[in-house]
Amino acid sequence: MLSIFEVLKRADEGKFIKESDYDMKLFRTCQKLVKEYEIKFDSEQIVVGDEKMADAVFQAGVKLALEMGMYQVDTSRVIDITENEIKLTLQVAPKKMILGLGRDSRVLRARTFGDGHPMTVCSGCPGTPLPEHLFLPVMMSYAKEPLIDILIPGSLTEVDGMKVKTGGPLEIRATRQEMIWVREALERAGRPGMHIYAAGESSATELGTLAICNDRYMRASDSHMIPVLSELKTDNIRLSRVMTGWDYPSFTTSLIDPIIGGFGGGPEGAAIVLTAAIILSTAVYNVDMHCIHSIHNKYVSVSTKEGMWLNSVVGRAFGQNAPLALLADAWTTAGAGTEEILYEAAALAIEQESSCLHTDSLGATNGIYPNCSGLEGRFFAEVVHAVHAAKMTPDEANALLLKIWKKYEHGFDNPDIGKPFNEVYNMKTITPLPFWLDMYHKVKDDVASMGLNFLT
Amino acid sequence: MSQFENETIQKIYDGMVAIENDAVLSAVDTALSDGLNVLDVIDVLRQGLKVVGDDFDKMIRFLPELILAADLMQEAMKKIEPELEKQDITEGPSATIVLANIQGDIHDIGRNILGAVLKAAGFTVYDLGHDMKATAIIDKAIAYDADLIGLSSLLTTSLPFAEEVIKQLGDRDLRDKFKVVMGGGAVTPEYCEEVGADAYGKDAGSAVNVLQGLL
Repeated sequence: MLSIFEVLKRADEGKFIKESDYDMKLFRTCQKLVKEYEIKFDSEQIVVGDEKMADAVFQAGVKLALEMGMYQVDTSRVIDITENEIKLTLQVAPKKMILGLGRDSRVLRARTFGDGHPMTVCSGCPGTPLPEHLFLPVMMSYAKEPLIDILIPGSLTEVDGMKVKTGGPLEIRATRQEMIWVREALERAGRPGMHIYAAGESSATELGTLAICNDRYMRASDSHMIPVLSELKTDNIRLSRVMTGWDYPSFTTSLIDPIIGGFGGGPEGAAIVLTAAIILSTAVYNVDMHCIHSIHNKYVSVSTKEGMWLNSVVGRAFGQNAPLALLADAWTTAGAGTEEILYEAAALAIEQESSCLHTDSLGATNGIYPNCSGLEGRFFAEVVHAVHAAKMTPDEANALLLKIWKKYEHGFDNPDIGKPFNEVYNMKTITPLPFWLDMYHKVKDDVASMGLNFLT
Repeated sequence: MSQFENETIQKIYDGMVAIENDAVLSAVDTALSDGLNVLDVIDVLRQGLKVVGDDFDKMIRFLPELILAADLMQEAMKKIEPELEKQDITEGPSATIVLANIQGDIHDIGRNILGAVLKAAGFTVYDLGHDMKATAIIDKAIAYDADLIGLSSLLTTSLPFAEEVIKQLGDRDLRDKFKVVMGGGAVTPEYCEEVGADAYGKDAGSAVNVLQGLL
């Protein structure tokens, strides 16, 4: 890890390069590394069991981090790091954290294969626009699910009927109100100490993070998020968030969105980019954990074969070489009230649990519509625990995943976005409506018939 | 195997598919000096570019290659344009679009893809970049005499600034001068209808048809 002051110095004094030249250099370097390390995406082997390839991805990622550094777009300069700094960073990065307070706290581990611990299940609706009237009930639907360990808020998009604008004064009010309502949701569910992951989701700038740096909103036991810009870039807004976290005691997490088909190239290059971004953000941002979120250039969703493979190979790469706490987003094409979202949830849960990852929640309809609910979060967690209990090998997990894939692959070109929360849940009791519950039971029975023994 | 009878045309096609700048530009020079039909030259450039675009869709090739190929097409067109003028030929959709990520949004990649696809389809594209204020977007659209304004946002909290573009166009009596199209991760068809945009662009692949439908 570097001190924030050293980071700022390098951001001002590092080597100058035009952004477009940096992008093309990244592409060429990734192409070279994919060939050199013989990394190959296999659409029939989504859960990666190939230890050699995972090692190759890790080594290529280290090389890319050294070659490229992190680009500061506001200064057009590169924040370079050395090999020794990478080694030290990975050595001192947290391997075990207690998130939340008291009886509601949970342990978040840097996972390794065969460590005997299932993932820590985060759930909520990251990036999803929620109007005021839905915010509290939606959050309550997650807080009420006992298998959900930690909670991530949605984005409050209006305050007193006014739309929240990026960088405007309402971002301050929105993030504070977000935290007040999430806290209320947790209290009503009898889980007041639950960890709030990525607090301040309603703001895209440092304003929101600064606004909630107070025990009334974001506690030391919660976390806030510092994105890496795609690919391997940062700017003053992101570094201001790093500075905010420098002397505020809450946890910090990166957010990394490698684009499959973008400047890293295909899934293989994107895997190298993601690996490098995890390393660079651990060093430059000094974060405690990482949210990884691969984006398919056509379908966006993480539930594509390319997206799941990428998560799996990178999870295994770190699990074998340098364990870190990695929480993978699980964004789906379909929305609540559809069978497809449940199958997508199952596939993602199998892939993540089998790949040394934690989850950073489902994101229904890729975070576009408020068509989300706690029930699909429950199902995700049930699949995680069933897969863990079964002690599946990567090949067994992969075989099950491929069966489930057939149940939702048709939805990418014409997604069924489902229904908004208030049409799938009873708004007074905050419980799933009968049709949604029936659908859940039907899909659960179907997945069980494919060979997964649910614990409950 | 050769697809074209004329060797120079074949070289242009092969060069575009392989994105080899020197080969394409020198073959275009040869084609012009040999007096080949300029429309045939443009057509073969497009055919080569389409191969790159199709490969991008299939994830055989990637964004940087799409951008390089679109830039190469523009370079080649610069050589051809004087000949078009000399022969008084009007070519392509003749539409100009300004593209921008609206205020507060700094996500470039979707807009980059769209720009490359539109250039390939023959649009004149002015990419204004990211975090652009409504006033500046409109001022640039006027300056470039654009027909279309394309707005992109990945952030829900930046969407109000897209509405501001449409509002300002009305306030400045310019609403009829430009067609406004919106796309990006945070944009939905319902939102476009709500704020009075002229069209919704689901992705870069469908954008060409959407825009051509507006002209």
